[in-house]
Amino acid sequence: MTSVEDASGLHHRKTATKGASPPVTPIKNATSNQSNEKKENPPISLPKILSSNAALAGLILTSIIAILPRIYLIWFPQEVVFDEVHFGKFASYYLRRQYYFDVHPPLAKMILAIPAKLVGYNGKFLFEKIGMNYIENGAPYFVMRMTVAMFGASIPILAYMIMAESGYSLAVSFITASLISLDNSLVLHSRLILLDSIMLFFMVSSIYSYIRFFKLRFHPFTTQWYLWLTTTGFLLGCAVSCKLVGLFTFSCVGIFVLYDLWRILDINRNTTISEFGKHFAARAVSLILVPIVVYLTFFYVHFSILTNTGPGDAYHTPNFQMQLAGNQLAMNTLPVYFGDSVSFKHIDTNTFISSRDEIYPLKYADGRVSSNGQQVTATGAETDESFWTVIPGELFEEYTNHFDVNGTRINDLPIPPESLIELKVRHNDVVRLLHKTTNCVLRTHDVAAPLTPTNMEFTCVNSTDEKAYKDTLFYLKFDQPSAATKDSEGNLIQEELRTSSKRFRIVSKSQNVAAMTHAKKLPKWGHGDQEINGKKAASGSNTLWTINTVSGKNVSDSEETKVTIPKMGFFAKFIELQRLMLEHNAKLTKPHPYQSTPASWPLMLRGVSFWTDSNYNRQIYFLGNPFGWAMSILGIGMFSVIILGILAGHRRNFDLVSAIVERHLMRNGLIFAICYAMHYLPFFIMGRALFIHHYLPSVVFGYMVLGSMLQFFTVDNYQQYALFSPVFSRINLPILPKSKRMIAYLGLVLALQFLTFCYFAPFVYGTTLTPSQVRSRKWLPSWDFAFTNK
Amino acid sequence: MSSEKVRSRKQQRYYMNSEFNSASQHGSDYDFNENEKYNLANPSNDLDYVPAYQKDHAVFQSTHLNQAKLADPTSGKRFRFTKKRLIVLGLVFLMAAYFRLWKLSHPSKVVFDEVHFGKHAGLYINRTFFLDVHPPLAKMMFAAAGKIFGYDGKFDFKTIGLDYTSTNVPYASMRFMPAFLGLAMVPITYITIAAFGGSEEACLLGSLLVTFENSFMTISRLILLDSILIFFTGLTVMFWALFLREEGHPFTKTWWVYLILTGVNMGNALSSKWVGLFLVGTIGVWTIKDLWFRITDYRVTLNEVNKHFWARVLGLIVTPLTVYVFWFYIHFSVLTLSGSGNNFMSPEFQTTVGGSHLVSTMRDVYYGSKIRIRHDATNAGYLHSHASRYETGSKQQQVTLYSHRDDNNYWIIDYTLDQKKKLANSTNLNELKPIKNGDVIRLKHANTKKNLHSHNLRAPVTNKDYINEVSGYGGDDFDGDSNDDWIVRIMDGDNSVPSSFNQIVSIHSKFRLIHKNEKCALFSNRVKLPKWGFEQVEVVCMKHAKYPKSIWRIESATHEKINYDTAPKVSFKIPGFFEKFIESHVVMLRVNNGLTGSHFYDSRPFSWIYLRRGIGYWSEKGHTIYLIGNPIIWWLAFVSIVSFVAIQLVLVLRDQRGYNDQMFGYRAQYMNFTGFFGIGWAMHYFPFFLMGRQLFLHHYLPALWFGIVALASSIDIFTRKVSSKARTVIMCALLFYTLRLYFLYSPVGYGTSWTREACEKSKMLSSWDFSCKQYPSIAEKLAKQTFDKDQGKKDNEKIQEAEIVDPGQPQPIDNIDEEIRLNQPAPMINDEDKKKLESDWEKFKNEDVKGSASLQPEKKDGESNPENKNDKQDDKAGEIQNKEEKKEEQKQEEQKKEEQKKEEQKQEEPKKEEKKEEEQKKEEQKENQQVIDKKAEEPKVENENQVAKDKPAPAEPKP
Repeated sequence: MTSVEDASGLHHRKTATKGASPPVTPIKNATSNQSNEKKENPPISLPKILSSNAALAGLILTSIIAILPRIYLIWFPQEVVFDEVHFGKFASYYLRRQYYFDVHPPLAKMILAIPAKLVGYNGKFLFEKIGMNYIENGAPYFVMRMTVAMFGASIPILAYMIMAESGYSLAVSFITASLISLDNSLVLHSRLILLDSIMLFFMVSSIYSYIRFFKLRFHPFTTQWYLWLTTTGFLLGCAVSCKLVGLFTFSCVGIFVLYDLWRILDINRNTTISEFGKHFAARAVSLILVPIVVYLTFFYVHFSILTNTGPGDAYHTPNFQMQLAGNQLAMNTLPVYFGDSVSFKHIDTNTFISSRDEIYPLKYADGRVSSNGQQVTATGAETDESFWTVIPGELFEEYTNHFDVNGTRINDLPIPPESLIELKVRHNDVVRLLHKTTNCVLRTHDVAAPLTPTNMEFTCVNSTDEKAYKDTLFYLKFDQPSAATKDSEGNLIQEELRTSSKRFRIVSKSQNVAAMTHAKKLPKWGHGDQEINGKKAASGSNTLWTINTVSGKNVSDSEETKVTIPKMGFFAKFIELQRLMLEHNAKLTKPHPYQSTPASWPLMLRGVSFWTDSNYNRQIYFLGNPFGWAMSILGIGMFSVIILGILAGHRRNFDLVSAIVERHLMRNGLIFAICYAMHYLPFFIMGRALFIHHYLPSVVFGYMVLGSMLQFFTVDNYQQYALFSPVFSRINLPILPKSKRMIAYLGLVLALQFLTFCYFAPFVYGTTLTPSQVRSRKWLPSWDFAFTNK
Repeated sequence: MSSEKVRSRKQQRYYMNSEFNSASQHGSDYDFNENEKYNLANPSNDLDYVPAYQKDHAVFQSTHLNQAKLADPTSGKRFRFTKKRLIVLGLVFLMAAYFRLWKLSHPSKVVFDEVHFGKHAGLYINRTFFLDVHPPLAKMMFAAAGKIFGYDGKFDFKTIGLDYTSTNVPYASMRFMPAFLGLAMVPITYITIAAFGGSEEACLLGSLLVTFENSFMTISRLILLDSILIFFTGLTVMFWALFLREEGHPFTKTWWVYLILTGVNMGNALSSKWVGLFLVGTIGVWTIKDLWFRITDYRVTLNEVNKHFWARVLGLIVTPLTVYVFWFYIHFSVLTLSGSGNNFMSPEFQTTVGGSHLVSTMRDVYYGSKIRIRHDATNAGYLHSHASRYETGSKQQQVTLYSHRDDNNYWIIDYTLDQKKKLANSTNLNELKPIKNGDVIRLKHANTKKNLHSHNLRAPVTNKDYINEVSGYGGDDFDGDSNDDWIVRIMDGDNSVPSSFNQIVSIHSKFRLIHKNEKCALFSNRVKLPKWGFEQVEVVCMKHAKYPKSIWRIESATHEKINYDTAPKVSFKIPGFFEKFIESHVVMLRVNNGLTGSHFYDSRPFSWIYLRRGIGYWSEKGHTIYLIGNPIIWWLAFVSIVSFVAIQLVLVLRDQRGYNDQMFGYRAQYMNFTGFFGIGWAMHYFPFFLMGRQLFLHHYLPALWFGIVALASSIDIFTRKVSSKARTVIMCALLFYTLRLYFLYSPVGYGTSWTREACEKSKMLSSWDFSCKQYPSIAEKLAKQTFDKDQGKKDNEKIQEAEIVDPGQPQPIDNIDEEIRLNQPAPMINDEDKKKLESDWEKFKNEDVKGSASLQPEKKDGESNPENKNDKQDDKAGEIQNKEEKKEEQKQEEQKKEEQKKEEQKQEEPKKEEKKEEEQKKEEQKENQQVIDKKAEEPKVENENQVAKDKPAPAEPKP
């Protein structure tokens, strides 16, 4: 027992608050079990530091192996590759400060914009198409790629630190890190302007940070403890702010924390409930509140950078759009008066409510019967037939002074300004809509619509038809009405209707249905127009309309174009953007030629072609390191079998492995396995289109599980690797396993990884290959490289 | 917290861990024994680790007495029925029988999915092959019931509301079968609860709750599969419960019998509906838990563990699988005649279903061969083209997939322009040259002489960047261009013909056709073209096409220079049972996943737990059948599950703090009894969230049964320590409300009469949408309605005429019809299209007089191969039938129109318009009459043409 304690070095960490720790007894190497005095004054020369501190030397070596393949030929190709189209573009928009819309949170894209800004780039190039030349367009792609490469290179370094912190032998830590360094897919993703490397960095670093925190569990509520806890929360927040996949890391840490809390709760640990409460509260604040604040902060920055109108406007509500400087909605908009002829444009499908002198067929193909009334349809273009005169539901004095029942002017006298205010159409007004060319009024009634039997039919009836009168009254309900103001006499005045900048629903007063249309086309009798019908639930975006034009009025020659911009706070903007992101993310279900199913990822059944150059037979193709991926799958399989075996052994009253090995596997191995599973399995229940690059986080953690298996099979003196910080405490550790054969195996794994990496490197760096060379690399028939035959 | 108390709690916690480990009731979390101490002054021994079992063993002696507290008092005791229980059960059964079988023959109409399952029973009786998304057992049971009671399989259950009385369908007897099985759930529930150690009161309560659950009653009275599924589910759980009671006496005869019976019924449940898989999951989870926590304990010898393990593999995996496969074997051996399901299956499969005309064909394929190409993955038909054009894109001639054999399916393999140039000088052009892998060919449509063509234009329906349109291009005077060139890539062959791997061989070679210029593969994805394409299936050229859907096979080949009779032949392999089994499952899965359309009554799983709405099964003036549960049972069942989870969570947290609650000694029973049904509920509920297909309330019913038993057990366990009076009061109160609600909603369950007022009053949630308007108000009801005897016939006629579909009108839910339609021949070409076709034809004829010779309908042609003769005859028969049907339809349409007119006159239109309309209609009618007359004549002409067309084009163009 004592030897274990001695070897652990646990309470000799510099982090301990007491500081007065007894001399360490670390072990120089596995063979000589001598103790070394802790060096009070480390020598200054670098070689000496390195020779006496293997951990640091390993860290530096790892960094070199990590960085080199990532920056080699990073300036090639000088063309836009794959998704650089998107992310380069977004970086440019940040520099132009133009608003854009994307389904991913902003952090990673903002990070990409920083180096470009630093070299003085102004965002003039928009990365429109794959294959466009960077040099010609003056885009600072080199610094942007370098930034990504630095983030990418830090992943293996962090992996090294995690492994070393978790009590793995330095040799195993180094090899695991090198395996990650030499994985083709990870290298490829960190050489291009893509988000995944940045996200991966935050993911892996938050796990590292949590491990540092966990190791301080016997010194709770110290400064160090708080520091690492908060850092974990901050990094988690960053990971989520890069891509929503960061939530998987979040749930991993959640699992670890719950397990930790569960153990703290055990009464045999002498924790009182109040202490437990403190533990709980500290974690809740740091790991829930801090990430939320971080996430919000980045969006706050996002909104404060993007203040100008840009391509993302159209996704948003008019209120949101009007916040952006230069938006058309805030500038070119007219108020609508009763008696005006206006056209209604559908928001989702850009169609116009029209009617023509034709009637619905009496009977449809499926045997249902219509009202046989005049057709009301949604047409793609604005024609004379799509203008409707707005008449008040009940004619009031100001109106009858100037207009007749059909909305035409009685006299040519100018309308006095006081009645102008009265004549404006406002939120919640009851109106009738008179069709301009056929002089009928819009009506909806309880007859099934032509294509959608559950909804009501819209038709047009004679304006004098008294029976239909109540069916011709419609509310105009605004989508985001601002609060009613009070006029000088204290009467409430609702917001006025304006062209383009107001969205509203046309809701029937008697039937309580809202006019909607959808992309279904009517058959021949409807000239292929869209159906308009009354939807019972007046919600959703397919019932939203806006006024496109007012007949005879022009924005330029009117003085009433200025609008007061409605106030919209940060949270309102944030919530609207979140909703849109989720909606559009869920909509990404369209099949894509390179999409793949999660089950095929570990076997690497399909790659993705990023870029091809047929002149020189060069191509960039996403592919993992086949050897490494196969090894990590093998490692994960063996890990599960061993864990199951150990548990089953306990049932049978025997130990498969020694207690200390078991403990190490159950803690430091299981953490990686949980991370692997939590970053992989949730994809199985996702409905959207998935790509193999979604598997990258699991690749990293899969290599770490493999590392724990390497440790299990090659290293037998587990006692020596206890929980401490070798990198920073500069304690000399045993570097290599005892057995020479095991050293050879470890070397072999690394060598094979390096060789396969080199063999497939042309697909990473885009170097020329002859067709026969490409064919020889086609190990699976489903890897669809270009230029396989000629 | 005084230190004394804490110390005792710590001790308890310590003992309990060891108890848990030794009594194996819960997980052996060995971390309990780690002496890691938070907040201790000397955090020294983080690694001071002693394996769990050592300590466990040390304390075992001192704590084994405590086990009694935790152990389930019922476990190991054998199960016996007392006389009293038998009498009670008998009485309950008789009462339930009354409520379940009352008025079973009402309504005498086809209700809801009886449309499908009645029809399927008929198909079994007729032995015609069909395809359905459900496994066969339940449907075969209906067929057997029908057969026994004299159903001849002729009535076709076409639409909801058809009357049975005028037919000779023994529908009441067929309904008796599910009703009886539903009734059997009452004793099954009773025995299950008893076997799990429930008290007599709990048994009675549970079985009464099942009796008075409206949804069980409604669903078991109709020819639907769910009642059968629930029956087998219940039976399985019952035997499983009895098996668990025998665990103290393993490997005895009764133990084996119960184990095997569990397996057999699990197989039956699985063979009734795939939802049975959730049952397999439930039993599986419990078995694994059992094996892990009880059987593998170190006090049991390894030999014993082994025996236990293999016994369960035999009973719970091998037996159900055998049963499942067995029912499919029966299914395939019953259905031997060809039918509507043929089109879904591969040609190999079709050879096993009689009446199929797939015979052998010429083996070798050469340049110049006339071939018919079949799409391999979807069985959607043959590569087809006809003389009408796309209305989008290039406006060139359409190329489609067409599932029926006709003359437009033939293509001729041709050399490309380059090759022709090369070969022009030599005589090679006429030499027989096989098509090798990698060859570049052209495919010339035999009838229209257009080449299979693709270009960088978007396809008509699937509008994607990487998908190109495929059309027919060129003609006799124009040779086309290089966009007509296709590369042949053979992907697979057959070992029986080794050459099929590197050269094209009929039937055996599976190949892709890659467009040479665009590098896209000929592809089809079961997408229908619009009406101008006669709703045939779209064919496109897709870049990076998915593998299976770009694979084609040659189904028949002839060559003008080769004597057909002497040439070597190949034919489809006849698949064995397991090949058929697997293929039918692949198709069933595909169709099942394709059921994504929306239905008026579909619902999402979340809304089931609070019974948001039911399903309208059938309605008629004054009578409705609407599937709705008994709300109190429904809600309380869910509450019992939630409370189980909450209580377990609290208990576990309190254990960690050393309280070690025992719930008056019923904790283990609560865990093992309510827990099992909680898991059953979860396993039958949560997987639905992952399903994308349309779901209905009745999918929740198996979960509901688990919930009801969990409810009964919870009430039982929580009231054990209450005085018997209070216990009786609680149970009676629950029963009282159950009965009240049962009778309140029974009118919509039985489809009996009701009043509008009572109906409106009864709605607890506004979202329950059974229509109250159709019930007479109290005043009206007083005047009694008398039924007409011939009502049935009249109703049938009425239904045949189209009515205005009210959105709430029940419709059958199964979308397989849609799939079938996809495989059906294109609808008859209407006048307009026909004219267009004709004009196209005229143009075509005028364009190139030379080539037209070969296209002239040839009436005399003796030299057609036997295969085509068959086709022709079939087509003829089909045509004649079509004609007759058409006439009938036309008659009906006339009637419909008249009817409608009357209705509308009554209902909607203002009086002024009436006259006008009538006049209009008269005119229309006249016109229609004329049109109809024309039509009646036309088919004959068309028919002849058709027959003529069907004859294979002559081998050589005649001058």
